[in-house]
Amino acid sequence: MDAQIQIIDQKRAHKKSRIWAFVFLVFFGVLGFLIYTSFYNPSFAKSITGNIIKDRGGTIDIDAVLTPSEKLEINSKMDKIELKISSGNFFVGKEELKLNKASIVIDGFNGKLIFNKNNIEKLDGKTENIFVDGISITSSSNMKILLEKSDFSFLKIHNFHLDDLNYRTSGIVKLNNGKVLVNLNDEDFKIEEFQGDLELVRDRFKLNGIIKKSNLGFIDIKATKNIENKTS
Amino acid sequence: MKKRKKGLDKTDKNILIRDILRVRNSRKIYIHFYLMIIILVGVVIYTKLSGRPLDDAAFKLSLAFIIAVLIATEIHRLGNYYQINDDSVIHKNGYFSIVLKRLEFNAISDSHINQTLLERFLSYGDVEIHMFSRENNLIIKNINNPFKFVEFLGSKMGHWKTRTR
Repeated sequence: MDAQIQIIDQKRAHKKSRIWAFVFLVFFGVLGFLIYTSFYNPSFAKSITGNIIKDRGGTIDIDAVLTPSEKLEINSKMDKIELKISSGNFFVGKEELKLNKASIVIDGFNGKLIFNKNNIEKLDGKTENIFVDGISITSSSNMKILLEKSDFSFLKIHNFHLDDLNYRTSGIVKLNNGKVLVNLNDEDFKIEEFQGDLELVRDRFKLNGIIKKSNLGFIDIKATKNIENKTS
Repeated sequence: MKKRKKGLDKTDKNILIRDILRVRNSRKIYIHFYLMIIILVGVVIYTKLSGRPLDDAAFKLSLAFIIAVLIATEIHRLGNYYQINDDSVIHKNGYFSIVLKRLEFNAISDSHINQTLLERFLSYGDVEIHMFSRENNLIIKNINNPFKFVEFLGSKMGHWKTRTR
């Protein structure tokens, strides 16, 4: 009888320790995942779960060449900014650079950019790398930069997010690789959740990326999936 | 004439006879699990306060773990139920298939309390109720205030003896 009870007790203890081991493993897994994605590699989870931006099945591809808007404000992380300015005072950290006809490349920018068709109203944020006329002026990995009221002739922003854009414009908009082609003539152009590239040269405003929803003139198109803000 | 006090009067035999003690396992035995929850919540709060990006999948996973642990511990706790009534100690275990064990006072010989250092510190422990036959003891596991439980059992058995004499 005592031996029987002992065997049952041993089995229970064994089962209990297995449950403990399982819960501990799950806990450390969740904790590790939480710490790793928050402190070391924020894009890790997206690479596991599948980056929705790369999965273009449920979103709308957009390729548009339009007349520029009066004013555009972007508040997002941008992979790269290419800029050709005619003049301006450029602050990198506490240092001030007086630039005249310079080409600027900014890598890994995170901040605010306000501009119209030929003037940068404000470029304020933090960046990883800056090149002025091909020369790196990087002093630390997370530098504060500021550029205000500067005329430009060329602007290109790589991979950024825009919540919405709504203005009257003219030009050609191609959706889903040209399956839908809309020719706007001073008509409403409205897009939501844009993710992609922007290029502005004189009067040519080019957008290339994906969107969630669009309203072009009288045509409404909505994607089946939501676009996550990859850059923010 | 003297007015009677409100509440339980321990000298009143009738009230004591009607008195029943019901206990369940203490939540203190799940302190390790609660500690895990506190750590996860702490990391989430710290991440938010320090302005770091909190991954949606990681947050949902943490939330799922916390909810699962809370539900599992409560289910486990509510599965056990102990009762001391006027003439017996009852142990009910399980949800769907229930095991009900009833120990009459006349079968009980003695009882003792088992407490580890942590259990003593947190004021919970096991009560082992022995029977005369010594073959089938009842272990009341992880209850709050085991000394009070034994004290109540003793007083109940005393009253039972007086009644059956």
